[in-house]
Amino acid sequence: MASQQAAAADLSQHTPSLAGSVLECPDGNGGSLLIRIQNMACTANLGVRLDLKQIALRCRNTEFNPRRFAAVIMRLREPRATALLFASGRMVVTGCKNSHNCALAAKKFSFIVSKVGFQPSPLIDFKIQNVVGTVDVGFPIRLEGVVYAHPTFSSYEPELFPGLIYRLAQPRVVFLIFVSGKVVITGAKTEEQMVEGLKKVYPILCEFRKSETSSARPGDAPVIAGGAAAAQIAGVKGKRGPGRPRGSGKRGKELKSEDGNVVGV
Amino acid sequence: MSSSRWNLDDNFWNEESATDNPNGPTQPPQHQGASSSSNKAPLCPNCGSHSIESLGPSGSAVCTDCGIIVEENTLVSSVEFVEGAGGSSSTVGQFVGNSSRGLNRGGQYGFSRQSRENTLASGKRRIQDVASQLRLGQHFVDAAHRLFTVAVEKNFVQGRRRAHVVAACLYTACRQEKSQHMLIDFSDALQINVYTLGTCFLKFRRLLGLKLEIIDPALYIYRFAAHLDLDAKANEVAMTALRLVARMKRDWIVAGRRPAGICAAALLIASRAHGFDRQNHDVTKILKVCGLTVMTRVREFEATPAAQMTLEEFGNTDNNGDEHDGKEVDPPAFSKNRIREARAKAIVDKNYELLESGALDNQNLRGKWATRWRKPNKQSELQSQYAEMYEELESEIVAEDVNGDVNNFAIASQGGPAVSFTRAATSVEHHRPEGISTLHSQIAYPLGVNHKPVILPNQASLEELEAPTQKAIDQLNFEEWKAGVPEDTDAEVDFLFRTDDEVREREAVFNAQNKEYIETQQQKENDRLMAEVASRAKEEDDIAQEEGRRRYLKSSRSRKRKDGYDPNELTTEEALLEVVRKRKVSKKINYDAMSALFDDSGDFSTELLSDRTGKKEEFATAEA
Repeated sequence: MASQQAAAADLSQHTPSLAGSVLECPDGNGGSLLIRIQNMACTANLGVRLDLKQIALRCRNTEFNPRRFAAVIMRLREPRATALLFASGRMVVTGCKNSHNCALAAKKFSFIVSKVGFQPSPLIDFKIQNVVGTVDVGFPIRLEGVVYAHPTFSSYEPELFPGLIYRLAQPRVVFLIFVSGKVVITGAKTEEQMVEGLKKVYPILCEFRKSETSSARPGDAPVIAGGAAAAQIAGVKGKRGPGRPRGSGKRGKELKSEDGNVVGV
Repeated sequence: MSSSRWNLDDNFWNEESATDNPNGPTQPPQHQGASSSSNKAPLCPNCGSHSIESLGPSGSAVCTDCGIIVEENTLVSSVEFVEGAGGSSSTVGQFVGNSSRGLNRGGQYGFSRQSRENTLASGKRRIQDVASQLRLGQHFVDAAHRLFTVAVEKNFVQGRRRAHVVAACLYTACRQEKSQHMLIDFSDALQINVYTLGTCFLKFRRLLGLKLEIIDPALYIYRFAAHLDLDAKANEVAMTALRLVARMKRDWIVAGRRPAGICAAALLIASRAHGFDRQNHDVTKILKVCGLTVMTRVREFEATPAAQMTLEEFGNTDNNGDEHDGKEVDPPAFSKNRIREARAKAIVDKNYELLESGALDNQNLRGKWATRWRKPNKQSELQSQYAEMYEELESEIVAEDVNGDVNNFAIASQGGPAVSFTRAATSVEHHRPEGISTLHSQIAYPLGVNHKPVILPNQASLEELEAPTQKAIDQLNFEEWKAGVPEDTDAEVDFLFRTDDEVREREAVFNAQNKEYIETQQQKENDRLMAEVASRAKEEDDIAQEEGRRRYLKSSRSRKRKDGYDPNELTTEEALLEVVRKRKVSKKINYDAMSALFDDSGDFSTELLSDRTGKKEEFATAEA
């Protein structure tokens, strides 16, 4: 019985899983936000010098262009991951969405390397270097308000990047906040840091939320502000549907002088 | 001697007076207005008093006892020249600049500067160059130079291209003054990628902790309206464009968008509204934005209620007032996301009615583009006839059931939003539906920006929500894992390997492709091996030396002990050894030869090595 359990546990060591790829973060109002991890980067040290040429020649799943970059790029399907293998025996694994898969990928890459003929050390140093996640807070955010209120932490330059970059000091995590309410969290070393950071930033975002949103939440029929859209919602077929009436200039000189030409279709 | 108090640069008569009166107190020199510059020990040359007061601003020092002026005119602001022996003239003294730190000693010429001043001066020159290219006034140059000084002081210039820093300084100055210049103008003038400049600018701003206003697209309107050949109506058009920008700002189109794109769209709409035939490319050229961007902005504006007004109406409404319904529209990206999610939700729920109604059409698009997400079914005549037949049949058969379904849906949609943003519906199973096909159209499941099926914000499977199992920093037990690798993984990995033939082919290709690289690599390897051999030889040599020394010491010590000398007293031999060890005379010392230099008592031996051995042998034979 016990051995069976051990075997089961062993098997989980060898199969990819989704566990931990979505984090739940309390929003302080009894609800919770879901942070979906999009990428993780980790390093591992195999503890043995590698002959990159051998690896590149033997394995099909590799790219190696020594003139451009001094590492072998190796890809894996299950779990989907990419590794950079360096001659020093160090390895960078990216592309996984949770730490379990990250570690599994690192082990699988080591396994491949050992099959080429190198002997990785029995204990592989493993460290997660960066975790990137996204969260949708579900309301538009006034970026200008945030940048005026927290000028030391944030930088918003629409000429260079559409989002606001919010650098939290403790924990050291960077937030990319977009008007649409989508937030990218990056720079975290652990999942906990990410949750902790969002707990601190979410109240700020709430403070600067657009007061009333007329767009619908999914599930409701979308209500879009303005007469035109309202007509759309009302479901009046034909009027605002495909083939919008061309001769709508009866209200005098329209702002768009000639309908179709404005956008130059 | 008290005369030593006098500075050496003083005249020789000081020495003279001192030698005249060797015993008495220092004779005050009979030299009126002597400018003694003894700063270290202020002593009155007249009365010998120590109470000398310096009068700061005038730069003079006065003895309070006798009233003599000890020092004056330490700093002069006038320029004087002296004539040299060859008739050449040079300035007297040194130039002390505003920003320099003290005098630069040892400069051969009057204007020699420290390297920092050089940097500042060249920076100013560069700033001036760039400013003249962009037609920026002296005012900006001064402001930018002040910033540049700070940059130099904070070591921001180190490791960066000077042009980047200069551009960052000038752009910062422009932003502070709210001038009409964009970063892309600098990029144009300096021929540097705008994002490279942007990175430098952002870092500079972070370093200085500057608080700059967010760029207002309205700033650029007047500048670029002038470029559109609008003649007399330019002002009118610009006014409309300004109102448009303000309106767009209220409708959340401006937020997160490049100001140039907004400005271009506003100018395009305004000039057309005033009856000018301006094309897309007219504005994109002057504002350096992509045509597609302008089109997107125009479409976004089109979707707002303000776009439905006539020019007259638009001119009369107060943008800030609530005259026309006064509602702010949601950001386009936000509503787009919501529509996409609503579509996804409707597909999951199989809510055909909503999908067919057109309520989920793209509000920013018109005509067939708006409904592209539900492609009409391509059907032959016969197929559509069959479809109609089936539809009729179906409606007859399941009429009651459909009613029931509709009711159910109504109940579901009444109970609050089916998807809430703040509460995780943990039980929602995360599956990716294929999309559905209705009678009239094919509806694909909506894709997100990454071209993967949309995941609703609160959607997550139970498995995904499990706590992470792997620590962030860990040691993976590879050996144990390897032992338990299941067969299919093993097979999967084996499949990745090429056969030997393939490897040989690949190797040939690889060697041909990377010939140079392999050569250099070989060279490096050879160098490494050579270095290794050399270092090993050196190591061996060192060991041998050490060995020799130890052997030598042992023998000499045993000799000494035998002789019973005082151990504290150094013999010549020991002293020599000490010197050899301490001074590191050479690493290659022949200790065997050295032992021959000394006799048994540790003093220089007068015999030759051969003699001594001969003598020893003699002694041995005699003893025998």
